[in-house]
Amino acid sequence: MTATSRRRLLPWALFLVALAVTLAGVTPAAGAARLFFFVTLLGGIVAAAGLLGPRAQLAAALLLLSLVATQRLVERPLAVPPSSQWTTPLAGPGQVVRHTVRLPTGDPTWPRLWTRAAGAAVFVCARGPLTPEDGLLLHLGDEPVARLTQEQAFGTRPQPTSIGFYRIPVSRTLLERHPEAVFTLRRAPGSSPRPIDICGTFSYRPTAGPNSSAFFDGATWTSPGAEMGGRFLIEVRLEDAAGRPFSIWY
Amino acid sequence: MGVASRPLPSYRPAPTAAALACGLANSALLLPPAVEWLGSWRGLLDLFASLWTVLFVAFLVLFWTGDAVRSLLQPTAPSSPSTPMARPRRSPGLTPRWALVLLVVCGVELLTHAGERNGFLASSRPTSGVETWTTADGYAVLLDGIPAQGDGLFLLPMLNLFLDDGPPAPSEFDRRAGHVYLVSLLARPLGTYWSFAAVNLLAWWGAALAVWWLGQRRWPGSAVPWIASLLVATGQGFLFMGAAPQAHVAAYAAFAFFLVLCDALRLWTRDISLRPWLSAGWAAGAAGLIYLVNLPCLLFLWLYSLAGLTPRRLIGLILSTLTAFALVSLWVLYGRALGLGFSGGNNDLAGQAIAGWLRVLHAGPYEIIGQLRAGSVRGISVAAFYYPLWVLAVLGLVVSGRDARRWALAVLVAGILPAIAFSTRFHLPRLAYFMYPAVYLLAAAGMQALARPLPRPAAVTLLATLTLGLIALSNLDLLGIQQLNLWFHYSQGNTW
Repeated sequence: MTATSRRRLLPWALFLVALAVTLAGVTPAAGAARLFFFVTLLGGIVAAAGLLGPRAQLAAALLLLSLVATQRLVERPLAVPPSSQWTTPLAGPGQVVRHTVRLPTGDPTWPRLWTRAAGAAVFVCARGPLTPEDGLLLHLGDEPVARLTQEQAFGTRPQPTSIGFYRIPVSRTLLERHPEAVFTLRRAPGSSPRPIDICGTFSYRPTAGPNSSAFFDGATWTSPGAEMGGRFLIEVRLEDAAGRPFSIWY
Repeated sequence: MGVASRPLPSYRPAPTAAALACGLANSALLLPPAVEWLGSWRGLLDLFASLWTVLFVAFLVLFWTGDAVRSLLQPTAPSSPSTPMARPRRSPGLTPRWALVLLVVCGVELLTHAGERNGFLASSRPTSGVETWTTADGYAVLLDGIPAQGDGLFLLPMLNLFLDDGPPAPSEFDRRAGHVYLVSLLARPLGTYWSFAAVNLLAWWGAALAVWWLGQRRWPGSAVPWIASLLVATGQGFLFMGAAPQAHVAAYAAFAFFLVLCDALRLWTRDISLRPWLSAGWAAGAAGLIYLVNLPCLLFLWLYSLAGLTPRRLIGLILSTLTAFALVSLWVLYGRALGLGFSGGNNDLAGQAIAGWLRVLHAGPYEIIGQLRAGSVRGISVAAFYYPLWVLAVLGLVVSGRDARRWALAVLVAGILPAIAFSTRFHLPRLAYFMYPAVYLLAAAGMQALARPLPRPAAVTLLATLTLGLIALSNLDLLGIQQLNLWFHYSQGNTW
């Protein structure tokens, strides 16, 4: 074998070694999926690198071998992301959904924000359609704020039974009375028996800490923050004159 | 008088197409009845610009095809334009320092637009004033604790399959599995979020290098490759998508790599064997495993190859096309056997586009005009590249050499056609962004033309000012101004 043919064959020999490394000992499904792209994509890369010269082709083959070897050798399980969308059914008057929002009412930015704000609203996500008989009540601390119905539904949703936001306007004074705003959702006594799904999502920047949300099932309190890095979807939004939110806390 | 002895008429396809498109677009404006949206100059001009673009593309392709047919029938006659890139040019080497500069710029841009600052994510937050259904964090998923664009969630089952962490599971993005495979090579050491980002960074850098190479080849001895590669490293589409766990950046790079590969294979040299055409087809098909890049790749291949078309080149084109589609189709069959579904809207974008246009075309000319108003091609194009870039690019087109102009027009048409095709369903500046190799190179050529008459210090100052101005424009979001991101996400629509 001449030196030239060795130079031409070496990258492809490394390519075959990489193929063996990537396929050895994996499940048939993973092996089959890897095989397809190993041949079509990585094979194409090695072939294309040949246009730049034998050294470039060798470097490409070595790089690919190191990548597949790293994939096999590093034992690092991927973190499962917290769910972006989940629901908790609020079944009866004994159950409570609670979410705390720490509002910056004492912050110098607060009055500045209100020079721009035309109003504030609490946004609650729940599964529709909500009727007055469903008796879904929103409280801020001890103060009743609203009974949620379809009239407050906000934004488009694919189906009437889809989850979606309900927008409840609130006054500045009400918010300023509750800088540590504890929102609760309950069912009114005598409300319809169907459970109402309250939405939750992941909690990235909670104002009141990772356990700002809690659920009382009638016997015990649990926190979606502790269990799954989540929060109930209750947000306070400041809106400008066009109704566009420009500051949001949860 | 036989075909062979008939003299070829002397005309230039692009200016002729532009003039015809002007006349016809004007006439087409008279077709719709008096409607509210034609009651303002802005509405009229928007529709005119969209009509003009579509008609210009149609006439240009028609003229190029006509020239190609004549070339086939009259093989000895000089074609118009002459066989492109028949003579390989010597390309000066890329300095390692410039390659490093580009890598650093891409890296800084990615890091400054990562996490919640990513434009794709930021423009989906309710505070951007468009979406009414998203939460305070926007359409997001937390990957390794970092907020990322929400569609990334749907790529995780495929990632788990490649990592042998889970069984095959259907997703919206089965057709783009090639991208996830590349991510899987880095996922173990880097984790989910940063493996997506690293693939994007490498692709981004590769795209900048590729555009530099293309610039050296078609605008040799000028500042064009340096400026254009810097514009890629700071380009709106790359900034918007760089930190998103999506296939777009890899797809943009794949298109630039394809353009480089076509030149490197010397496809347009006379009497070339069919093997390079098969290679080009394989590359287009492989790119189609990442995203629907096979469409702009093949469109470019056909459009640019029409100049001086020979029977052998025609066979090469057909072979390339068949190879590309065979590879993409093979993955669908193979994937289905693995248990993937290839169902859902994102897996059937091409089918939806064809169905949408068939419906519109069947409905008649007024419906076509209404569609061009609803899916404003002008709004999509300007959202992908803001006005200053277009102004400079048009200037660059005028001053560039014949082959560079023909090549750039082929890239522009190949890049805009998929966006026009999909405009019946989605208005996607991120699809129109496939035009970036041509737009940035032409814009750089335009800048160079402006600087040429000036003394050297003034010329350098002007080039630096214009380049920095364009870079600042695409980085406006760092100052809290999200307008360009919003347009890139949702298109400019009929607004100016």
